[in-house]
Amino acid sequence: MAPASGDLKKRATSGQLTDAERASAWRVFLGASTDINYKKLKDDALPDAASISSDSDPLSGLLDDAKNNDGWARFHANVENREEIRTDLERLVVDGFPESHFKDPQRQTLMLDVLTVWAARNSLGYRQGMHELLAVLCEVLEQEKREGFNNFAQSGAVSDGPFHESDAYVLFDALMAHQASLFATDLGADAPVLKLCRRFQTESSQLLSLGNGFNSVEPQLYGLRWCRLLFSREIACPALLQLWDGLFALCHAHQKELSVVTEKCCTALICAAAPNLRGGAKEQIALEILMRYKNHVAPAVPRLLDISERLVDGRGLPPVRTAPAPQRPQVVHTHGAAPVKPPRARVPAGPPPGSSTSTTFVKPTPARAPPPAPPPQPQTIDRAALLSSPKAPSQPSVLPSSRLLRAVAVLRGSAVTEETRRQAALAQIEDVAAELRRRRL
Amino acid sequence: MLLKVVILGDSGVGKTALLNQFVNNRFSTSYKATIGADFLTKEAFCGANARSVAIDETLVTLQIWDTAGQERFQSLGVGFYRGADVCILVYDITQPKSFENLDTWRIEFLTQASPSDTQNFPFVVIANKLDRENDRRVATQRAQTWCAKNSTSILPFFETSAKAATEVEAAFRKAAQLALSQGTMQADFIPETISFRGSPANGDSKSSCC
Repeated sequence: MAPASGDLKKRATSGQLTDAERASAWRVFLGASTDINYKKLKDDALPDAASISSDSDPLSGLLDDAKNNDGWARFHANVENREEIRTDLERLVVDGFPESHFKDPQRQTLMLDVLTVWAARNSLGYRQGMHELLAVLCEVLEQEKREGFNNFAQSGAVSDGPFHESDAYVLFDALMAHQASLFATDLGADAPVLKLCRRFQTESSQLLSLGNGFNSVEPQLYGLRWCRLLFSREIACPALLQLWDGLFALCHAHQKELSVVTEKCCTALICAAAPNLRGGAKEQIALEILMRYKNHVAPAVPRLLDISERLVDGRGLPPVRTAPAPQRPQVVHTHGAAPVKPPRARVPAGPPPGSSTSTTFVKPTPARAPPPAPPPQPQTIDRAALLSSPKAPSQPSVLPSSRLLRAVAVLRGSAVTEETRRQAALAQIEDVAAELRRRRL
Repeated sequence: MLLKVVILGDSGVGKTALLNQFVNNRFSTSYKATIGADFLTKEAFCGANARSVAIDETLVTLQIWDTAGQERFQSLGVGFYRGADVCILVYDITQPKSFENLDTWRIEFLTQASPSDTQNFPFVVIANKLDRENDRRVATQRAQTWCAKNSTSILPFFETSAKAATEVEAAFRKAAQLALSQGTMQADFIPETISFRGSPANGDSKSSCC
């Protein structure tokens, strides 16, 4: 596989890949194999009952014989696997798509077969969540086919769906080569996903000086989902596709495991939520924000990718710009040698022009009103706030604290007290003051 | 008062649906598979005593933790189970396997949570999907026998339908009540008595008045 050019990586990390080229770029980034004979794998994994030797038909009740027969043992194991996969596929919904999209029988059958074949060939088997990763890959392949760029057909291609089933298998297999270890749980506390969760919690806590509220939430409660599903429940499509573009590109460009990039991206997500997590935020508040991230934080994807890359290559968080002090007009760049990067082009909220006829995304509904811009605080370096608040005020980033407090007041039974009401009122005043300051500027 | 409820059971038995029916009074045919864990909270008035009258009831916040049917216990951390005040075990009346697995769920929970009194830790058993009575493959009697066998007192047992909202409220209320009595028992246990009278005042006895 030819190495990706720097240009491709650059475009992938800045939200510029088109629907037509995305699938190909992912194949390159993830190192997809070019010599998989899917038809053969499928025939092995899904044997026709009629083709198995009838000498020891398990239906005759000779269970021992059945166990001794490889064909039948595999057949029954796969039937069981298949039912488990079917249970999850029947309730598959991906944020950003109409509920009916993945219920389509043709899509369901295709995903069922791909997952069954993969599970049959890997000792890990099928684990919940793999189906949601595959769903995103399938969508990207469908986009590619709609754009007329599907020329990746290979030996043993199975082509009776909206795109080559074999392409879906190859891409899924490539992603799982990176991702499978995060689904393993048999090592107890030493499971890779748990180690990863502990690392990003420690790193975020140190980088962002987050309080006890954040530190007392066990990171795996939300981290398992973040890492295994690659943020698909935190960031909705189409922004999710741009996040994956960047994560896969970074993995390839820096020759790192995808899980390393994922770990850094977890820290980046926490950076974006930091204003809500810091200070006196209690454990229950932190838990609510992290478990239901999408309701509280809407980070810009290029920013997440920028932070992830800085953490991957050891540059650390972006240099902090201090606000100009009242008496000294010149802007001073502090902390770190790296120059301040010019702001990246903002990713359009909708699908890119040109793909409007083919896209199936649900138009994202604005969940909340844009929050006021952070109040300017001369001589105060608020690293986390700078990181998480995009410069354009139109991009919602964090909920006003008053609303969060009210939401949390409902959450905590004991907290519906005079004190909570007072805090909420105070926070509301702060929000209004911040808004006034912003307008005056 | 915050009470922690943990729901366990096989994949697809309807844990998330039950929880949403109880907390939000709604049912959807398509709840996503739970990955790891998730939670919802609900405030409820509830009494520790089954026969309590309204005046005894206190406002509690139920923090109900939904878990993935396929998740291994270790991955959520021991702390997750240790804080539980009650555990709800769910099976699907159309899936005998999900009923047979109740043993495993119960034992695993007790191993992880290691409550001080294993025998009396409160469980509630829910047989879900009563709306599919025609496809029933687990007899009520069989489940009741299991409940009687696994507790010194009989485990509360409810046949529910998250879809039709049958008995869901009753099952969770029972769980809340058990959790509250469990929580109250723990709160009542005060290991040391602090005596103000006659204690030596660290050399500084300004409090004695004239």
